[in-house]
Formats: sequence, structure tokens, C-alpha cells
Amino acid sequence: MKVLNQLFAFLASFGLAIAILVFMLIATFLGTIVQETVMSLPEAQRQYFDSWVILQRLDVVLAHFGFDVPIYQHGAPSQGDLGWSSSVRIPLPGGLLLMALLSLNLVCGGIVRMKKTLSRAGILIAHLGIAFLMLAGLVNEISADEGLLALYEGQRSAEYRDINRLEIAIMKRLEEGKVEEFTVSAEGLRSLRPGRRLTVAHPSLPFELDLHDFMVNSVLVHARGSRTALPVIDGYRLQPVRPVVELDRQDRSGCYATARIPGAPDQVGILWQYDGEPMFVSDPWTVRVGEEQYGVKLRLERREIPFEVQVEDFVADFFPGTRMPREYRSDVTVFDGDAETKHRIEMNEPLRLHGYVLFQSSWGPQNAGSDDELYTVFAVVQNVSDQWPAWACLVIGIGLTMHFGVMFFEYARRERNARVAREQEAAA
Amino acid sequence: MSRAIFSKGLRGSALRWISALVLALCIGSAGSAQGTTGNDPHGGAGSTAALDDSDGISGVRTTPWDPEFIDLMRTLPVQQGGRVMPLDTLVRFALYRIHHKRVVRMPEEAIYGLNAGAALHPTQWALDTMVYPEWADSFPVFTLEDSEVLVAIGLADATKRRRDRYSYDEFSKAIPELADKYEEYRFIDGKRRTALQEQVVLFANAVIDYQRIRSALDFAEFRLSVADDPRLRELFGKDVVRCSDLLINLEELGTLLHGDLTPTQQVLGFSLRSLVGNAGMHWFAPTELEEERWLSIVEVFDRAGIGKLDPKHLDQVQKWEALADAFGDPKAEVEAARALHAALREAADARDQYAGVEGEVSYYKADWFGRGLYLFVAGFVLAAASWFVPRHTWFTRGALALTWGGNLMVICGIVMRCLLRGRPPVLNLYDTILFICGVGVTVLLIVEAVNRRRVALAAASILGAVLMLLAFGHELVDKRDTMGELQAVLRTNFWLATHVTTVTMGYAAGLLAWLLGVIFLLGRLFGIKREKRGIYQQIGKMIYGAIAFGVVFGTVGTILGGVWANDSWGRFWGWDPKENGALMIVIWFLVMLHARMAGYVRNHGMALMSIFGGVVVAFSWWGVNQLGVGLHSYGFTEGISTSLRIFNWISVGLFAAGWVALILDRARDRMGSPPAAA
Repeated sequence: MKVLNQLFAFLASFGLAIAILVFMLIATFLGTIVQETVMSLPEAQRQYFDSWVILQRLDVVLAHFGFDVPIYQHGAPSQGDLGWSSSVRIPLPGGLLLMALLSLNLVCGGIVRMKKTLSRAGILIAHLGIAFLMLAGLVNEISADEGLLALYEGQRSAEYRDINRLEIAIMKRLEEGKVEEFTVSAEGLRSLRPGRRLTVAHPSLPFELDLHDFMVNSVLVHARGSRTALPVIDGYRLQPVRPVVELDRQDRSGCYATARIPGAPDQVGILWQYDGEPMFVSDPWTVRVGEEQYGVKLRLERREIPFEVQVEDFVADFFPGTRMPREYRSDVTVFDGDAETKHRIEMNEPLRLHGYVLFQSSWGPQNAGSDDELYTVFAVVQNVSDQWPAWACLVIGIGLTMHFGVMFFEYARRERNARVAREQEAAA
Repeated sequence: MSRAIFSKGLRGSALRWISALVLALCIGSAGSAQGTTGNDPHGGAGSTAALDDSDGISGVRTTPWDPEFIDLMRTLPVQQGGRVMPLDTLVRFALYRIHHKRVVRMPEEAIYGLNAGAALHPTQWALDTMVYPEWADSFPVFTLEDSEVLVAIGLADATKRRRDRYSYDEFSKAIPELADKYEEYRFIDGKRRTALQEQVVLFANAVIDYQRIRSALDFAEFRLSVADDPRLRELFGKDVVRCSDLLINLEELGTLLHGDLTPTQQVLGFSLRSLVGNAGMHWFAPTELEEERWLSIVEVFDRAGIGKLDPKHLDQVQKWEALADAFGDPKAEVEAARALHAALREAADARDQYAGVEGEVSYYKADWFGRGLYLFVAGFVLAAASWFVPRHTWFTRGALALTWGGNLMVICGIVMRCLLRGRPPVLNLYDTILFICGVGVTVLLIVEAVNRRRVALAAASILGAVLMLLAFGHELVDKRDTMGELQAVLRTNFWLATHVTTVTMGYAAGLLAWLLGVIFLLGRLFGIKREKRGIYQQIGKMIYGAIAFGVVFGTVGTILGGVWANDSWGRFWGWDPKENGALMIVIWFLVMLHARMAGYVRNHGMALMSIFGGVVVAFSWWGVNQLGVGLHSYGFTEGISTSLRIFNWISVGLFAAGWVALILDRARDRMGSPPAAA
């Protein structure tokens, strides 16, 4: 019991709160400055904020503070002698660990153990609000999905691409031009160590796929004159490039695949996910098993919203004489079961329906001419806790204002009294 | 294209400039789009040279501009950057880019009645340049931060001091070389350019701005005698042809200027190409109400070319020509300007745009922030005096009045900006400085009213003066319209009014705490008596108050930002640099409050921590914009990094010294000296 009490006292302590906050400050700072040199935002998010432990490279920190050190760029081929600082890794608590600890500390120290007096009411309310906000974050982390849905005017669909998940789609060609499709998650690719392989199989397929040499972002290049250990397929090879920095652009992941067919030689191919431009997809890699042909693709996972959207009208408007966007908006018809409703989706005004939120995200195609037909791109987000932060914000605002407002008026009263006393003293 | 525009408004506006530049520079060397192969080095001069037989105004202005004429021209509506603005604003920021100063001071000789050293304000300088280009080419208005730029374009013998001013004449022969270098460098990502490449790009941009102004009236001053060509005489029905005549007869001209041409016809064809080669100003008001685009002379020609010349456009061109005829005669100038101004005003009024144009000119004339700066400085002088002569309450009262006055100026300026744009106060980085000044000074003055210890008063006047200086510096360094349009994602007043203002108030609180911390530590370090405990306790309380204020607004503002992001990008939090910056501020405020609550720090410790807090605020406010990544980097800051570094070093130094002082204090306390104030 004593141990438990001590543990609780530790978890509820100010010291722990301060330590966690300081480490959060450090993690946030580092997760920001790495974006300056070596990492895309999504990658920084994975390594710093969705992680339990951060292994901080020293070279990036030194470079930020103006030291002239060489910086190793992820995914680039050998860059010669990089000096000692690029190999030093400093372990630090990661975002997930800190959030978890902070939540615990907040509940123990800021809510359970806190004296429930009137003068502390504001603080208690604010702490409750922050706990609710953390809960919203947790729910979002666990349940939220996000993807893209691109449609030309007049098109109607419910299928969107989950931008965070990769899948392998294998299409078996049937007679009369029909296709049977199997999908397998390829998420394991991201954590694949160099030199290892990820084996993907499906019970109704006559072969296994070994996936290897995964690249977060890649380009397909002519193999001519290149020095590479990777296989060359039909004169092409994959080349890793720096993951994209912009949030609204996607990496084009790629990997090599070896199809292992019992009783036949292995077939090697390139899988390149070209979902960056959301209307288009790359051609599949063809695997031949006897007479049968299979198309294999690496792509963003396909998912469906529980209603269909048809774009009636899309407007991309610019300030006169400029290419600076003034407004984007899509007028859509939503087919929800038998119901048919009209909505307008525009910047800062998303459509919320059945736990899904559709945002005006972008449009395309890139480099469209003035007469080209444009498609509109909606970001699709499924998030139960969608509106929780707004409520948390209200609660926190009320709590903090109460607490510090009362304190300020107390201070003003005391100051006035002190001044009156001083003046009386002077008069006497 | 589409994606880049979604996230980065800046890229969009950069594109605009680039296209303007391509036009201007290309024209200089390659003539018009139809492709003359002339190699005249400078665009504007290219066209005037072609028009040599015109009797356009060349020479020197001898009589001063009539004040009414200047006022009319200042308030002339013109479209740029997607909005209708006064000509004054357009040339003001062009002058910033060219001259790096707000006014042009003529160095030696007196001009048209002005004394040597008199200041030409932007419109006045622009009029001289438009109307008397060859004369204005000798004004040393181009500021070069590094004369190496001239060496790079082959003018090693023309260089003066490292940083100096040059006239257009001094480098115009090297413009083709400059254009080549510019073409090479401008595609290099801003962060990867060398300092020299950056200077070359900036210089080229300044030259483009200048050429645009100096050739703006070429169309109005165009005159060509066709007396010796019967066919042309017949077509135009007169001996001397103006731009408006070309517009009226453009279609016929198109059929006429084919096959074997007489010399006059050749000149006419070449002139025509030069005329449509100037991008020019977009000051031909649209005639249809639903049309938003104001046209340049090129576009007016485009329309005339397809038989869609609008009579109102023709009328505007003719009014400009009448104005050109009047140059040199102040009375006639005013008359012609009135007619032109009335026509454009009517067009702008029809769209409710003219009131803003006039308001903007009076906003710049009023110079609210300049006045604010003077009042703050004066207030600080009196506040300092009140510290040395505490008995004379007049100093304190004077300081109070002046600082309140300065604050009032700042608030007036901010309100004017809100009214002109029809939006909440903070829309860009420049606005944040003004708003932080208004909030910070107001809060300090309220605290002063409560405790009357003269600390907050002194801090208020310092803060006001420093932030006004920063605002001036930023306006000149940034060199872009501070009231420009907002890109799509920002155009929601509710979020601008809530998230942006509250988060900015959080910044303000952090900077207040920093300033109070500096005052505390300087006092301790430079021997203001330890016995004066009261003062230190007061400052400590004020720091605590600032942090509490910051926690309220910073936290609410940051979360509101997430709620907004959730509505526009579909995620509450994305670990974007600007979001991280705001979060870091809130975290640090929370560390401070909890450390104080737990008794780990007292006043001295809070002062130290608030110094570090200032560094965190500076990182979030300016530093992350330097990183140039993320959805939030709307504010481009160039040349800010040095000031930022200085601020950080001062903070680090103070922090270290203050910490040593704290340790020494504690040691002394342990050895039994009188108790420390902290």
C-alpha cells in the first residue's frame, strides 16, 4: 500500500509535470527543426510525435544552431565521410510516451489530488478541459481515418483513398474482360528493415509475393548508366527521393516484388504507387502463372464512405489578374440511402455526415490549362472526436479566465488598499 | 500549380512578379511578343527610342507639381495583387524595393523649387519618373546592399562603396547581363541561393519595378507624324497619330501593315509592337460591373485587336493623352488630372472601391505609427526622468499622457487598417507587430493604473517604441503591400477574429514577460539596491500576471487554431512548425506556472524563465517562418534572421548573468547577509 501511495504521489507530483512539459518542449522543438533539413512533416510526425522513443540525430541539431556540419540525407546514396556527429543518436522520450505520462499526471495531480476548494475551481475546470482534449486526441489516434476523394463534375462515388495505408491489390483476369480483385495490407513495408523482405500471400492466389527494397518516396527512372545494386526491370529501376514536405502532396512509395510460384522460376517486378495525383493510377505489374495473368499494384488503401457524393459544380476562383486563390467550392449532391440532399463544400466549411467529414482539399490536374476540365479533391476524415476539441477549448477558456480573473481582481484590490495605506501614512 | 497555390500564397504572388519581370526584361532585349530582334538594353527606353520622332516630354521639370495634382494622382485607383489600390500604395512599395527607404532625398542639386535634400514622397518621385524618365534616370535611387552585384554583371569599374546608391543611368548598359543572371538565379530555391545570387535577384526585381513605372505613360506620350504617308493619313484622318487613334483603327491597321511597307508604316508597326510590349499599370477600369479585372494598355490593345474596344477604355486612354499634353503647365495638369481622376473614380465607385482608395491614402498620410513612435520615445524619456526625480509627479503624469497618446495612435492605425480591409486586425506578420504593440502597451498601462509603481509605465513606453521600430523595419525589409489580399483558407473573419487575435495576444504576453524579466535582471545586475525589495516583488508579480494572461490567451488561441485547422484541412493538429511554435509557448508558460506553484522558483527564477520564454516566443513568431516549411508559412521574412540572432544572444547573455546573480544571492543568504529580494 505504501508503495502504491508513493507511486501515486510520484505520478501526481509537480516535479513530474514539469519534467514532462520540459521534455515535450524539447520534442516539439526538435520535431520542428528537423523539418528544416532532413525530414518531411509526416515523417517528423511519425518519428517525434507518434513514437515512444526519439533517437535524436546530433548533426541536425548542430546544423540548426549554426555549426557547419555535414548532414546525412535519408534515402540518399553514400555521401562520403559525414563526420562523427551524423552517427550520434540521443535517446529522448517520444510524443506518445509523453502524452501518456502527461495524461496520467494530469488526472492524478491536477484532478484527483487537487484540493476541491472554491479558489481552485477554475484550475480544476481547466484541467478537466485539458484531460478531455487529450481524450479527443487519443480517440482520434485510435479511430480516425483520412483519405482523398477526387471527382470530376458529374461523377459520383463513395470510394476514397486512405492516404496513410498502403495495400497490395492483385487482379485476376477472368473471361470476358472481368477482373477479380484481392487486396492485402502492405503496411508492414514501412517498418521493413533494409535487406529484409515482407511476404504477402492470399489463400486464393497460386503464388506468394516477397516485397523488398521499399522506398517511402521514389521515382521510376531509366536504368541507363546508373550504378545500382537493384534489379533493372524492362530498362527501368526505382530510385529513392526525399519524402515530400508538403502536407497536401503525397509520397509515391515504391518497392521491388518477387513473385514466388511453386514449380516455376521467380518473377521480379517493380511496384510503384502513383496516387500522388489523385485521379490517376499506375499500370499494374503483370505476373504470369501458366496461362493465367495477374495484375499486381501497390496503392493507397481503398475505402468507402457510407453515402455517395456527386459533384454538380466546382469553382476555383482567383483574385483578378493573379494566381492567388480566392475561393474554392464544390456544390455536391449527397445520396444517402434514398435521401438526396444538396450541399456546398468550401474552404473552412466542410460537410459533416454520419461521422465522416468531407473537406475541400485541392483540385487538379496540376498544370491544367484555362480550358481544361478540373476535378475537385475532397479530404475525407472519419473521426468520432471531430468536435470535441472545440468543447474542450470552451471549458479550458472558462476555467482559466475564472481563475486568473479572480486573481487579478484580488491583486487590484490589494494594490488599492496598499496605496491608500501609503497615502494615509504620508499624510500623517 | 493547384497544389502549390493551396498551401503557399507566396508562391502565387512570386509567380506574378516573375511573369511581370519576364515580360519587362524580355521586352527590353527582344521587343514585343511578335518578335522584333532589337537588342536595346532597357525596356522602357526601348519603346521611347522607337518613338523618337514623337515630341514626347523629355527634359527636366522646372516648376513644382501642384499639390492638388499630386493628391489626384495619389488617389488614382489602380489594380495590383488582385485588389484595387491607390497609385500611391503601388509606387510606395515599389520605392521600398528600389530605394529601401520611404522617401527619396535628392542629394545635391535643388529641383523644381525644392531645396537640396528635400524629400520626394513616393508619388512625387513616381511622377517625375513617369513623366520625365530620362531625367529621373539620373536620380540615384537604386540602393545596392552589396556592390558585388555590379561586379557580377560586369560593371566592376562603376562600383562605389560597398553599400551605396546608384542611378539607372549608371548601370543601364549592363541590364542584358543582369537579365541573364536573373534568369539563372531565380529558379534556385530561395534557401539555396548564395547571398550574392539573392542580391542579384532583388536588384533585378527593383529594376523591373522601376522600368514599369518609367514606361507607364509611354502610351499616353506616343505621337507619330504620318503626314508623309497618304494611306495612313487617309486612314487616321490627321497628321499626328496618338495611341487612341491606333486603338480605334487597329483592325484596319492590321490589314494595312502587310506586304511592302513605307518607312513610316514600318515605324508605326514597330511602335505598335513596343506599345503592347509594356506590361504597364492596370489602371483601365473595367466597364462591365461583373468584370473585376482592371486592364493594362496591353490588354486594351488585345481587345481592340479583336474588335472589342470599349468606348470607356478609349475615353480613359484619351484622358491620359490629354494629361500628357498638359505636362509642363501646372494649371493644365490639374485640369486634365481632374478629368481622368473623375472617370476612374466613377468606375471604382460603381464597385464600392473608391472609398477604400481614398481611405488608404489618408491612412498613409496620417502616419499613425510614426506618430506613435515619437510619443512612445518621448514618454520613455519622461518615464526615465520620473525614476531619477520621483518627487516631481509631473514627469510621471507627462509620461503617462504621452504613452497613452502613443497607444492611441497605434490603436487608431490598427482600426483604420481593419476598416480599410473589412477584416479583423491581424492578417499578416506586419499586423502581428502592430497588434502586439497595442495589446502589450494597453495591458501595461492598465497594470500601471492598478499599481502605480512606474515600472509598467516605463516598460509600456519601451515596448511601444521598440515594436514601432520593428514594424517600420519589417515594412522596409519585407517590401510588400501590407494590406494585400488573403488567400482562400484565411478568408473567414470568424477564425481570424478568434484564433489569430488570441494567439497573437499569447505572443504579446510572452514578450511582456520577457521585457519585465529584463528589467528585473538588469536592476539586480546593475546594483539597484537589494533593499528595495518592494520593486522586485512588484516586477515578479507582474511577470506572473503576464504569464497568466499568456496562458489564458495562448492556450485558448492555440486550441482554436486546431479547431480551425480541423474545419479547413481536416485535422485538429498536424505538428506543422507554426502550430508547434504556439504549442511551445503554451508549454513553457505552463512550466513557469507549475514551477512557481510548486515553489521551485520565486521572483528571480520567474524572471530568468521569462527570458527563456521570450526566446521561445521569438522562435514561434519569427523563427519558424525562417524554416520555410509547413502550411502556415504565409509570412516570408528575409533579413530578419540577423535581428533574431541578436535577440537570442542578448537573451542568452542575460539569462546566464542572471543565473549567476541568483546563485551568488543564495550563497550570500546562506552566509547570513540580509535576505535577498527574490
